[in-house]
Amino acid sequence: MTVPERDSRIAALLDEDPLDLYEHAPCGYLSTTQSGVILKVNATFVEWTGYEAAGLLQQHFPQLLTAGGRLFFETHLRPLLAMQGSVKEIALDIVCADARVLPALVNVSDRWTPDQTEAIRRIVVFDATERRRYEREILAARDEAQRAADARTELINMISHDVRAPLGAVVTAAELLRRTGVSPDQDRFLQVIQSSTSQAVALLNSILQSNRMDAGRTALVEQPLDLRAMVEGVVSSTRLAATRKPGLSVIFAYDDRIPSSLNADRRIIEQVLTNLATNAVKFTERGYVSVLVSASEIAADRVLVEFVVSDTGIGIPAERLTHIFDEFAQASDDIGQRYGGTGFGLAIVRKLLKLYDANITVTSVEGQGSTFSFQLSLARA
Amino acid sequence: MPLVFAHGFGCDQTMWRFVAPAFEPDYRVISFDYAGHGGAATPSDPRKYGRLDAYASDVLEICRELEIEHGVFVGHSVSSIIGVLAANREPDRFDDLVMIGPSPRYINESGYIGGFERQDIEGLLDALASNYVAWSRTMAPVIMGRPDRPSLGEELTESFCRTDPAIATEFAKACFLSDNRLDLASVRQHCLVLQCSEDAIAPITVGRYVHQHLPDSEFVLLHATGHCPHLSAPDETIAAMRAFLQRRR
Repeated sequence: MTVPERDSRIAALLDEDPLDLYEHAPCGYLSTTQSGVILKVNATFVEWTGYEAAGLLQQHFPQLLTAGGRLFFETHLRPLLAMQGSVKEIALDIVCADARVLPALVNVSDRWTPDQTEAIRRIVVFDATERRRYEREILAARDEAQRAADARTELINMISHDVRAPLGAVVTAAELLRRTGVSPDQDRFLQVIQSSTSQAVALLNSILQSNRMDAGRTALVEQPLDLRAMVEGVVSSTRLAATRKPGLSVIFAYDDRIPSSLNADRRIIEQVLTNLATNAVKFTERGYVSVLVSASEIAADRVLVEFVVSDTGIGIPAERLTHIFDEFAQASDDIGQRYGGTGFGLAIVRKLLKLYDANITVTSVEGQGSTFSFQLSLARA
Repeated sequence: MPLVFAHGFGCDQTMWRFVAPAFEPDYRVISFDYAGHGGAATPSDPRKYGRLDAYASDVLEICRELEIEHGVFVGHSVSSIIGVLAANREPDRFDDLVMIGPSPRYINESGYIGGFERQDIEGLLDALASNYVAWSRTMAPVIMGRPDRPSLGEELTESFCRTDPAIATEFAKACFLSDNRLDLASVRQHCLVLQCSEDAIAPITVGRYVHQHLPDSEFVLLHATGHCPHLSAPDETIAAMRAFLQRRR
């Protein structure tokens, strides 16, 4: 075959007949009135569904859907089409002539006359048999994974509960044993038993609390609260914890414009501040830990209160900053060994604040310190 | 006088955009989104919204907050019934109920044709599940203009009918599986039943059933077809509502 001969044959192939393309495109085409009466349909749709083309004309397109699909079309798509004139990639099932169901993806768009008085609706139907099968598999896998995760959580809850009780007994027994008059060496060992066991109990408590929040079993309980007194309580405990570090001072500032009584969830704010302040003391040898509470916005009925906990401690490497709110995450793997802790504290902080629809932000320079802040919108009590 | 517009299943308050403004000169027009719809936050426990009573409670809470009394409640589709439940609980909130395409029971039973079988509702839940998989991409925030209708222009570059998937499923169950036929008899308000000519969701027989079982109601058959006359034929809908409201004053 010569080159010009071949070119002319290719050219002939490229010279497609638009009508043939319309009729035999790999998708169904229908044109309907805006109320859905079918005015025109292509050969592909007729072939897929097995209807007579003439029989389809004057039928309502939604009548070709399963009853569930028809409900979806009427309740969701028709309003959308009336307002925005098109919808894309909607999953619908088309009932064929032999009652077989064809899973389809459907695009619909309106075409208006230039004077915008009349419109037809153009419906493009893609065969989604394979895609729907994948979708179902993915959905089933997701549900399966969720069930497995729930079962694991349940198991962990059960174990945590069952282990916590005997560990509590160990802590108490060790304390009682120390009071019976033991040698200095024995007392040291008993203290190790006590502190290690207490740490384990704290971990189990964190796990249980975290799971409780994941399961949505923790809700916001707002009551009139003297916010200042509550924060001062947290600061006193922080000062007490910091007395073991001679180079460390604790700074506290409170904005007097904050109303004395606010509706707030005491447990949440107290625990969040305690977790942040405890971390700050833990990771700071010298310099300061500060707790600042100020009013960012004051309205007649609500106040936006900003809480900031800063320190001059070891800081957090930039690449770890986004992960520190994940469970079991600490700024580096040896942190847990050097400083103790479970890596649960900040995860719980984030989950607690989520109950308030609040986000916590952190800025940090490694070696210089960290600043954690969040804002709560609280109603006057 | 307050006129409270309540959207139906599958959409949000944007569906009143062609009708509500017509009443603004003469009424205190209020429209809202149910929980998890449009701009309303998703509740922490969506399962609570598997019963129509929960929606009626929210309507009444809005009424209390806005101090609405002796108003008119305009409900589309399932909201007609939510209006019935709210009116039965606190009768003084509304003097009149406008019901667009109401149905107290969608499922057929012996002696009653609702139009659907139970498995059809399962089919709807399937359709919801498979469409909400890709919801955020395809349906919720449809940000597009309409090059074919430039007169509508910029206004349409927003999202319509945004719905939280978990709530949509609960709302679907609440709408299509509940049976509120017995609640109609205790309605003390004067009601307008607006029925479309060809409505695949609420057929004429169902609209007539509602009309016959309400103690005090008017029945108007619209030329409009479909289930959303306030979108497909806003002028006819406005005229029918206005005539009803004028007869009442």
